[in-house]
Amino acid sequence: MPVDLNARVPSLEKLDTFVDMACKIGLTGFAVSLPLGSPITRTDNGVVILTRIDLEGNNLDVLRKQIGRVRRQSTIVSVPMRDTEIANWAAADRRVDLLTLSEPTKDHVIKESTASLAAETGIALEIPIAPLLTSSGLDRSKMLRVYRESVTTATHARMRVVLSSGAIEPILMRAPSAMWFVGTLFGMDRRHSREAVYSVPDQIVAASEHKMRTESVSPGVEIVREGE
Amino acid sequence: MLFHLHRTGPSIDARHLSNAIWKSFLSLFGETSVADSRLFINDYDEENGLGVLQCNAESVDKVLASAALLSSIDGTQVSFWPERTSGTLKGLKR
Repeated sequence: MPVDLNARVPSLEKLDTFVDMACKIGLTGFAVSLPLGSPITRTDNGVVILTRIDLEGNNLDVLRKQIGRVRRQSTIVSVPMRDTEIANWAAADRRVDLLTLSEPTKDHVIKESTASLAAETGIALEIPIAPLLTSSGLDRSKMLRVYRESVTTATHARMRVVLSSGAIEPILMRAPSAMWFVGTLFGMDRRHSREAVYSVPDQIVAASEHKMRTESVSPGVEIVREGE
Repeated sequence: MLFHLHRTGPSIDARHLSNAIWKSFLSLFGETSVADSRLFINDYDEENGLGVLQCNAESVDKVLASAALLSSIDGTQVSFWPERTSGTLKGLKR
């Protein structure tokens, strides 16, 4: 079931327009960085809206405190890829869901060490395609280079990849079948690109629901009840 | 392939849509890929945005990626949705 994990809805008032577009293009849901009443909401027409948070900050201690606070409130927790130290911390922390390539510049290509850590913890590399829609020529080639190198590194390390729209307006959202073919521009074959659009987002949401419901310490270990 | 062109703004005619897809394809994949593609719009309803795009089998992925990256045509913002592909027109219409 295709879900767009990164719709940059600017305000609650605009949410309906994104829901309408999601219905038109065959999305079953999307994630937004807005204060909704609950981490997962279902609209009357069956579209699922998930809450998302992008951890911001250059200080590792600040980020660690943030994630402890927000993990149970958000379905999707993402860390933008900027700094190697922060990326490596995020890749090793199971409370994180996504490492997002939000600024496709050559300084932010994912490193092999980060990808290997993320592969072990199940964290996915997120590629929002919005920057490609608003650029062309040499600028777009440079972005494609960053995306292609990052996807190659991630795939080689067996790190999962997820494609999202990063849309700030409904018309910038893309149908899952369109995103599937955009993924092939990043060097993925049809099968992997299809997984990045259709199945990996679903898996992330399911794992995230589990993380929110339980206090998972590591695979197979959960806090069931705390002592008094 | 059957496609649906969503838009905000005035409708776009088949010629402008075709040119836009050609330009996007050219920009991404170059002149020889465009030359080999046999790309053309077979059928297109401007009002509801439904149409049929044809190309050779080897070019399908490139054509659809090029069309998916279109964000606006002549000032009208668009979102291209490839609904279904088929090897024959008859299969598409079924």
